Amino acid sequence: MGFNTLPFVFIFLPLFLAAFYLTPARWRTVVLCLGSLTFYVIGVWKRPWCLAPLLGLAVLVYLLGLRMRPRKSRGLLILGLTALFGCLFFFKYAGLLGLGVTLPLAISFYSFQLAAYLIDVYRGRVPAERKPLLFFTGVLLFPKLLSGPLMDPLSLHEQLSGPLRPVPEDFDSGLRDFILGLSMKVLLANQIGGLWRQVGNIGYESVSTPLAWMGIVAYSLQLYLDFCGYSWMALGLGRMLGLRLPRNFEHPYAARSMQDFWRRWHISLSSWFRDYVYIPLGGSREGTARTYLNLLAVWVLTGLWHGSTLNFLLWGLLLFVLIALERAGWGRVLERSRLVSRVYMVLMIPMSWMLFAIPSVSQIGVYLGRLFPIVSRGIAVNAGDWLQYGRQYGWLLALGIVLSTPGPEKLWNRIRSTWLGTVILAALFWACIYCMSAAANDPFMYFSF
Amino acid sequence: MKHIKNFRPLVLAAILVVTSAAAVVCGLVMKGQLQKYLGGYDDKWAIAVPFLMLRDDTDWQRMLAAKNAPPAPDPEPEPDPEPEPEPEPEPEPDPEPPVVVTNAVYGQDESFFDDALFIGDSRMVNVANYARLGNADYFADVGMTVFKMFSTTASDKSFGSTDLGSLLQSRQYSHIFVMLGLNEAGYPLGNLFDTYRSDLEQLRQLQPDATIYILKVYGVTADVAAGNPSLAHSRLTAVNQGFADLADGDRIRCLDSDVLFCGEDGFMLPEYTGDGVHPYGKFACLFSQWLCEQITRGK
Repeated sequence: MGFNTLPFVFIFLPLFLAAFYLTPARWRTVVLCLGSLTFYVIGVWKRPWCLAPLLGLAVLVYLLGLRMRPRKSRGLLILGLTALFGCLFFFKYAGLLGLGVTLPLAISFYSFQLAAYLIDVYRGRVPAERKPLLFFTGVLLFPKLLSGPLMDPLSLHEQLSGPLRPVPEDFDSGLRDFILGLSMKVLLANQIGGLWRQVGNIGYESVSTPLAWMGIVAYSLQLYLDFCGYSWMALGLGRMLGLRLPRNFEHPYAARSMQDFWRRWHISLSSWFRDYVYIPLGGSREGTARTYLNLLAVWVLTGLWHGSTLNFLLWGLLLFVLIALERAGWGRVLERSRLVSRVYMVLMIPMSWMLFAIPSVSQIGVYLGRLFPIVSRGIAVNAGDWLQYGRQYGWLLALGIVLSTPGPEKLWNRIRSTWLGTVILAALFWACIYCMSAAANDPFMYFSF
Repeated sequence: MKHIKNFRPLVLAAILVVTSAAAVVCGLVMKGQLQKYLGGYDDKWAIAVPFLMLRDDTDWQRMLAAKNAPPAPDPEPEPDPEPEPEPEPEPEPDPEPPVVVTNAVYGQDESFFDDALFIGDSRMVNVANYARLGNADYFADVGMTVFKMFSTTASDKSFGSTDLGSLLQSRQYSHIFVMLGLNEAGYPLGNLFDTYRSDLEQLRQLQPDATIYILKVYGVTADVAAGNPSLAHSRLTAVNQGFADLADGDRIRCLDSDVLFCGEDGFMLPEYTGDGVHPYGKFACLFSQWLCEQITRGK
């Protein structure tokens, strides 16, 4: 049950919020825990076995945390991380091995959240959570359970330790962020994504070069607006409950280098890899060669986290190469010239997402051949296809590009809480419901990770 | 809950609650009417119904027509879709039909289609984009159905945005090919066939000299069919049988295009499609090749 479904918006959320707000503050964590569990159960109704890894791993990490002595219980840490990543690896790659097992919902996120907790308890940064209610609420917290953001365990601990007492302003602000995120997903991402779907339906070998570029730009915008929209919805839901979830995107398409891009895109995941992989490996403190090795480890793991097919590994390796080149000197060129950095990023962002979007390596080759038709002329290419789809999607692409820049958010923040903002949000809400009414199955793109 | 002194932060929530209540009431009423006079809509959320009608009011118009129609005798029960036929023994192969038409050879001489019109849905859009025949006109639009054939507007290389009636009044065609039925396969069959019959009659009146070809619906992949009962093989078979009954064998003919892109089980083969419904652009030519063969053999 995604946030952008009618059952969630009109049944689960109102009932949950009513139960939450009608409950005395000291019991609200119970409501939150039970509500989050219910949310997950509904989501895996057709695959109830998905509960087993979630609850099993959560119970294991809880017990290990209780037994752990900071900096001393290395064995327990290794045991916990082995269980977490072993499960994740098994389910990610079981499909490739033909075992017929599908990926449990949200396993990539909750396994990382649990690992962060365990590591921080080992480091002594976070006290082991003794109260099972608070621990499981932190794990199951439905605004972030399915696709993040990954939360700092210390922040989670501090926020859940006291009674939850959101004020009306929290509720209102959260509701506004929720509607904004819903609009990004339903009104923009889904519509723009139609162009990428069309390109796939036509077949990559039959699209013209302009349409191939339009298609990959559409995918880039769809991915950003879909995931950013989800993240805003998660933030909004958390705020309605009196919780502060971290922001996950900071206008990544305004970045001037890939290093900058990945400080702005899926910030919670990048932070996780920085804090629990890159820095423990030595970061940039162990010399140049070791720094590059550490970066390679981070980006290979990032690629593998996103998917088990070869294209994700290639995607991670491409990002490593680009970031390594930037560190080696190319980054200084980008800093000095805004024009060069813009051209570089306008090319590299869609190219990197192309590896991300197309699972088959041979099809990646076909698509590259359409982007740069030096050797390949395609098959049954309709030379005027880009005009037809340009008329249909051009304004959406332009709107998506504009909304990816920082300017609109600054403008929005000025009217967000005014009567104009209220009217706009009410209109956006019903526009979303209109689109959602006709959509059959519309999962968030990051639900597949 | 503590007394809330400042209601301003709750204005947006209040607006949404009030409008949601209104939408739910409206949706329940509309859904009730649709279920009463048309049937179906059991799986639709009440709050979605007003928006579905905003998007496409075909069913609402049908409901109003049914509501205002004089009482009719009890209708005959809807015939069940025909069960999968027993596999027949391999018949003796017919001798190769003689070549009747010589100017319908794909890729060589397609002049037969120079005064042809193709009408259809997104699958026909696919053909128009990737495998055009001769100088034919293509009046095709995504989502077109027999219910919207004369209300939809479309454009093509040789005409701007227009409706079908205006197009047929401005040009003369010798052959009109119609491929519809997939988008409307979930409708009650009786209503579907009646509307199609009416459309064909209108085509005949506007183009009395044209031969009209009804093209049967070819299937979707097994995965798509599994998720949508209206696209099941048995359902499409029933639709195609009804389409065949609309032909008179003379001015209105029916062509067996349901074999295109499909395996022996009637499902579209996955290698032909990316979404389970539409053939890839590079395979659109298979439709055009097949059609040329049918015409050449005098079908």
